[in-house]
Amino acid sequence: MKKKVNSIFWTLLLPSFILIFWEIVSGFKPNPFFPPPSRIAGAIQEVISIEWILSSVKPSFIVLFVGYFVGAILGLVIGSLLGEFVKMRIVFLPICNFIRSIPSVAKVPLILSIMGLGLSTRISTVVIAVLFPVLMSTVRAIAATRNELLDLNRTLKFGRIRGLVSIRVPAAIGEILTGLHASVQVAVLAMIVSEMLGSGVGIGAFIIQSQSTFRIANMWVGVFIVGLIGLALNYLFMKIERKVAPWYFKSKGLIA
Amino acid sequence: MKLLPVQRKFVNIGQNYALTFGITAALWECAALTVNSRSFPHLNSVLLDLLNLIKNIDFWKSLIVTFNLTIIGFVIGALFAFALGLATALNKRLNLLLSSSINFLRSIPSVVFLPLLVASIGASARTAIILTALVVSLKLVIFVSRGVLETEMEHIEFAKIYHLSTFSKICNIYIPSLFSVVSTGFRLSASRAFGTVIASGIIIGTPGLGRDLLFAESNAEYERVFSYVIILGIVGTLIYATFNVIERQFIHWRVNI
Repeated sequence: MKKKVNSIFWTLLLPSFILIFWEIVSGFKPNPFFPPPSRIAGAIQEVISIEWILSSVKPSFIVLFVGYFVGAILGLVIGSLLGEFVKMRIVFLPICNFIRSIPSVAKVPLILSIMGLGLSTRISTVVIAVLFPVLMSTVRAIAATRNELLDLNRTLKFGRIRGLVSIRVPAAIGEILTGLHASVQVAVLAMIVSEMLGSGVGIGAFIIQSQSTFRIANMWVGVFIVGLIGLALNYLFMKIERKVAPWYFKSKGLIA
Repeated sequence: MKLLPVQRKFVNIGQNYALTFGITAALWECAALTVNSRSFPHLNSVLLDLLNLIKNIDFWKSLIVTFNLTIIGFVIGALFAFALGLATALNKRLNLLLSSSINFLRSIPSVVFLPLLVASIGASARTAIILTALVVSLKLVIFVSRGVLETEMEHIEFAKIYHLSTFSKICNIYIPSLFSVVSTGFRLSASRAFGTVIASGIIIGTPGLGRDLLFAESNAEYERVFSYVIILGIVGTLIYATFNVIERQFIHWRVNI
């Protein structure tokens, strides 16, 4: 108990120190781009309302969740197939690798020029941003199935698809989850960029509009909310990982 | 004529790449015919445009600017990450003090800081460098601290026996041993650094290929947009491959992750 209180104290020390320091400094020397935390707190009260959540946060969440799930499922399915079928992998992996190497933000203007502005464009941006990292990590995880398990598959006469679903994917679940976790951040990034570049809807657009109309405190509110969404999703994923594959995340010691 | 095994291997690789290119081209043409609009040009017109682009001296200037920004941001970020990572891994109090703030900053997509940076210092090369350094340091710091924590106990005992000073412990024990973990971090954060320079070009118009891509998009030069995206893919692949080769050369005892 004492240890926990101690750790909470040390964890909160720096953020509270920064906030107090920031408040005092901006009292002496006001900077329009760094309004005091008290004013940002005031802006939070002002900005956050049911209408605002419905008009700015809800569209972002729809884009993020639909895009993430579609991208992750496509990545898992295609990745598993490429992991299982070596000939397909040899042909398709270089092109998947190439598309993944294009910075995810750079794909946004391309998708915009093909699809125009709209909800489907924003969702597609997230789908494409998530699809390729998930696909690559799944291929790598499936291709690295241990020989004993492949022998087991032969002994049980499961065949390729059933063996893939019942043996190879479960064996690779830890690495697949790591790939899925890493692409949550990419998904949030893609969502924000697609909203910033001209859509006019969502939290990304709210941040850009607040900046261009000099409502700097509101812009800070947007930044904090995006941070909280990222943090919450990260935490949620860590919980899921430890629930689904405790052996993997314990043995690797991947504590973020 | 009978081929040597090495020659056969090269022929096979060549055949596979030719097949990949053929299938990609076929899929591209199918997509272009289905969309059937000017915004999805045919492959041959994009390849022609790509040829024109690489003949253009301004393109090379932009590429060099992009590289410079990436390298400067990467180096500053890496130095910062090493200092912060070593300090937090070697001092438990400092770790408790900083880890929540570092994790909070890591959860915020970097591009969110761009409007703030533009408002306070403008959209210059400096903005891209600051953001890149921030992204690299936040990405790499975790690898550095994990690398330090994974240092073998025998080496630490060895340092104790020889009464090494903290500085020489860091130089002779921790840094050599953490390189195997950090090399993966280098590879990932170099790609991220490049992506960040491009992102700040696209979103706020800092100099480099990102800005050129956005100009092409807003001028409705659709072939040019595709050409730039292909170039960015090639550069991204090269950065990744370069770090992969370096990793294998210098840290050959470690299995690649």
